[in-house]
Amino acid sequence: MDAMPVPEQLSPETRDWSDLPVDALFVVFAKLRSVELLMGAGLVCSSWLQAAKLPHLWRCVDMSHQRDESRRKNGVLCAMAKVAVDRSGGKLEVYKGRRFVTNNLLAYVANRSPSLKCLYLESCTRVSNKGLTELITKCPLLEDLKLYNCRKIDGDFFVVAGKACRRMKRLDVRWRGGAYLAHFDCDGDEPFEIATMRELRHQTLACLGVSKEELMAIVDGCPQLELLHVSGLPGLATAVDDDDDDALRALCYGIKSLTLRPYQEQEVTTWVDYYYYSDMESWE
Amino acid sequence: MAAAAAEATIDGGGKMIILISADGKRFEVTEAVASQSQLISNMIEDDCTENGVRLPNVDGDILTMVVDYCNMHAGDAAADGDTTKASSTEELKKFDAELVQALENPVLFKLILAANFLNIKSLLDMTCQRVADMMSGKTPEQMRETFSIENDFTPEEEAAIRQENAWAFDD
Repeated sequence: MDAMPVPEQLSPETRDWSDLPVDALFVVFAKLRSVELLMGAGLVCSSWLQAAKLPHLWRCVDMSHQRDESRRKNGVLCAMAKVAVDRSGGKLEVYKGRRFVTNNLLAYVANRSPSLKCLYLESCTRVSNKGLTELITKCPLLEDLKLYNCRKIDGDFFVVAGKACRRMKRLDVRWRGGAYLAHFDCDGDEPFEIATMRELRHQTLACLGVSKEELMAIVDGCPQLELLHVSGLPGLATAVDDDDDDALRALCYGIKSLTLRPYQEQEVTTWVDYYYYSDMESWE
Repeated sequence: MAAAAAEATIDGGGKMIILISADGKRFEVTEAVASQSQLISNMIEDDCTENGVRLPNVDGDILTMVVDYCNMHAGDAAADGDTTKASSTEELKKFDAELVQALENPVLFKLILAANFLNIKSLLDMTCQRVADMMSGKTPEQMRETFSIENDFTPEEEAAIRQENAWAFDD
């Protein structure tokens, strides 16, 4: 190999990071959390602000990190969420929020995000059936819905979701422990509505008081189901050899990942907690 | 003469390609190594590498790092090809971690430019992750310090930003 002398042109001239090509800046910004980008990098200089406004960066707005909440008022977080939705320019596909989300914010999202495919709400105690219902009817492409510990959402939600979201592929509704079981008034026909989501592939229901009969209707109505995790199944409690249980298990034969857990107060708490946390991390 | 060198092959290896940096440094690499760069891979397909590939915006010392990286990761790309050359996953992880950790301004900046220009996705990803990590938890002012960036907003722009992003300045 020829040994050509290297000219000393590479030494410590300062490079101007504000001139980073927009492609590379995009890769960097895409690695930041939504709040970090809004509050930090996007306010550094004019070229970075321009890059931070690229709609593609805002297709997925994830505001579900505990770190983002620190000392911030709910109103501030809602205002940020609205700016993020605006920046997506109508292309928002994934929205994730924790605690601070209100019905008003959901309406804002719903009115501006016809392409919304995935919604994840955790511990959003200010979101009611009405707020969620409105969003679900306005976002017909929604196919992935996770509701964790959203106490104000009850069985009525299934009725609307079943009718409005025929494309639903993943449905995951969980309560931490059995404590909120009573809040989820599922004694009507509501879970049967899930049976009309024929494209459903993944479903997790924890501590909702869905009956075996209802579950069988769901399995029967959703032929594409690949994953079914249900805990807190009343009636499955002790009678493992029950004929009904056999029928249910037979019906679930083709489902690749299946967990059916009875409702047992202590056990449910530990199991759900375990599942809840282990899965939270892996959910993209 | 460059053509003759570029066409040279090594025992049992693939065709060789010469990469020439902005400052004239020459690097002889296999096609498999070089094609981790999407840019060069396209050039190979279009048959325009016979006279060596001149990279006028990549300095020799940066290209050295890029070539080291590509040599190390060639096993990756070639999948189940030459197993004697393929580095183990742990080795690669260690190599990547050491490379990234050693990176500082302005080398990091230049390496990003090179990875972006040559279109080497994994290298761009890794170097950009380093920048993202450097940004994490910092205020805009702290970031300006870290990256020596001047606040180039005019007073009018600054006012507009404050109005648009009122929440960012509230707390």
